[in-house]
Amino acid sequence: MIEMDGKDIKKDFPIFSKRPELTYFDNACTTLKPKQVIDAVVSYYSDYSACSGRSGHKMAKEVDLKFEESRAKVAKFVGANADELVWTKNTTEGINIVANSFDFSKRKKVVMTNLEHHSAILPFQKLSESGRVTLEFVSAGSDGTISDEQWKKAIDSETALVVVHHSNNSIGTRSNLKEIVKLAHEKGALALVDGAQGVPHCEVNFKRENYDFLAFSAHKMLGPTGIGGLVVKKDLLQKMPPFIVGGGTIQDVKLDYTEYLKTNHKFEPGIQHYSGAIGFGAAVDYLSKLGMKNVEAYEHKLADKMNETLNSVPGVEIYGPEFSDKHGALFSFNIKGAKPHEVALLLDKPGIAVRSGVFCAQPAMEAMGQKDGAVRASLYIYNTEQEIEFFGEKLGKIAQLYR
Amino acid sequence: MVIQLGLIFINQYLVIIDYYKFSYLFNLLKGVSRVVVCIIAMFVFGFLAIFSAKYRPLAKDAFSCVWLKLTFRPCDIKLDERIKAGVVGKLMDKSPGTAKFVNKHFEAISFVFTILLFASLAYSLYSLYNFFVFGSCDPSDPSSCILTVLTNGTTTNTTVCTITADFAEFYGAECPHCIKMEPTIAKVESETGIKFEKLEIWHNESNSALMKIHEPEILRDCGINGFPTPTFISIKNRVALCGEVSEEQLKAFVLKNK
Repeated sequence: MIEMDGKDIKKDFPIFSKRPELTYFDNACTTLKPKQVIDAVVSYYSDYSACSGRSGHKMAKEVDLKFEESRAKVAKFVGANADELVWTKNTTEGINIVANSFDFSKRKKVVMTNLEHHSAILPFQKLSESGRVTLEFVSAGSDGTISDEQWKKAIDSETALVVVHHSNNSIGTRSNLKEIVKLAHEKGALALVDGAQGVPHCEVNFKRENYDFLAFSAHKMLGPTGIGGLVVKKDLLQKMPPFIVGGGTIQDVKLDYTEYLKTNHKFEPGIQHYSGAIGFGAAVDYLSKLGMKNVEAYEHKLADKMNETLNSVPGVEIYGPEFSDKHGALFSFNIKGAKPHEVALLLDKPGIAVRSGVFCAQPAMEAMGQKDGAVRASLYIYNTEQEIEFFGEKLGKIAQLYR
Repeated sequence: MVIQLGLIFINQYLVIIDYYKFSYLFNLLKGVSRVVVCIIAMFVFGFLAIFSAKYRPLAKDAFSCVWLKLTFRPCDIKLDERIKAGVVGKLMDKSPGTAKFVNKHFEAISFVFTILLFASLAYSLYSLYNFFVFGSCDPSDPSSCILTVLTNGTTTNTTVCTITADFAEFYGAECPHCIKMEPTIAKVESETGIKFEKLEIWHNESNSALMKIHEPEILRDCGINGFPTPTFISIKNRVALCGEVSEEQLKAFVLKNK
């Protein structure tokens, strides 16, 4: 374990020299990008911007190499094999692929929580509207907790798929995945883990944790926007039909019949986001160099400080369960009497970037009793305790406006 | 805008007579306050946007918001909240008490500003009307007006055109009637103790512009539209006497309007 310091990490992020006043607490939305990632993306466009998997010239081969090298890095980062990783646009696309390619002919029931992101709810809600699946929600109350008992009750022999977040994007809690995945498998169901808010913040191991599907996005872990990953167990991947089809997904095409590839490439139609994938590889390199255990420990230190700071401001109400070791560095809160958007705009004045609203998780915020939403402060590796103190000072002044 | 404000007024009137719809009235007023912020923003940022690109996106948002409201569509760009945060955010560090007051009463404050805005707009339009019709934005007191018209159509500052005496004579240097009137004027001045401020108008544009300001009373009292000479003016009573007149007539004019 090494002692991380956000101040040192900041030096790798060019945005901070251009916006020295910036206190970026909107990392759950998207993270900032280090020079290493920016350079990798630019390098593709300036040095070898050809396509992969098609042409045979030298430059195309160079793209092949870098593109697949990145795939291997990203897959390894989440404890999977390269041939289990499908490049997607983002977590949303990953979940949509599973929803539309999964075989629901034998079992139709999908179990998920009311705390999921819209990206996880909507694809299955759409299927349920057409009768392809039946949806059952495991509901958290206003404290944001779900007991193992609730899961046990919901997952049964009819269940085909359990869809669950690794870490929650609206209240910062983590799911008890070990138990949930075990329960799903015991009942013959599969588990799709929404790793958008988990993979960037702690060590996630697809194989060891025995997930069946894992979806995540690069842009939430220092990588470029427009690229993500869906990891699928190899045997499932081979059986699943492609969702969106086109060039690069096929083995053989006739006018009346097409034989698709059996590999992960069948889910990657058309020219891919090469620069994005290569940038994703650079992001993973960056995080691996820091060490995800160190990242997690540092974030926990920040979370501790943030919890203390928020609790010290009179009128602040934090949503979700009591702060614990399992809480991520993400907090949703409101100031009594203030609209969340107003608070976010006032924080923006001194350069503090936070998000306000329902965070694409309306049912979750409604469960918290906050249908008008909340303010969300989400931290990452380049944030510092000094920034949290500054945030606390400004938040205190804002709270005074509403007393 | 006029139509919408009219509709809002009618709406409010109808709602006021219905006691049970009080909460609706409250929400309506809140809605009006929000539009009001957008209207002010549209004028202010629209003006600033002429000179600085920084304000153009805000001006665009404000215009779009006003347009949406005028066409009875929802405006969800939260411009009012952004403006409020901008104002309160600036005050927050300098004067927390003021920031708190502004934050709490922002809608009421913006309502007052809108009334002031429309009042000043109406006054400006009225002044412009005077400026184009009478050559001065305030015909009753041209000295208080910033601009006045010269005969060649340009504008000048009134500091060069102010009449300080109670009576003035507009004359032309080569006008035979004016020359003929000189001894009569001198006699009346000596007998009454008043002094005419003598303003040559054929060669002096400023004086000519000043005379134009008095055109309404010249037209009314002399029935002549233009620049008759000589013309005698009482500044206090805004009455005129034109042409070659007798000593008695001039003396009576002075004594009556002294």
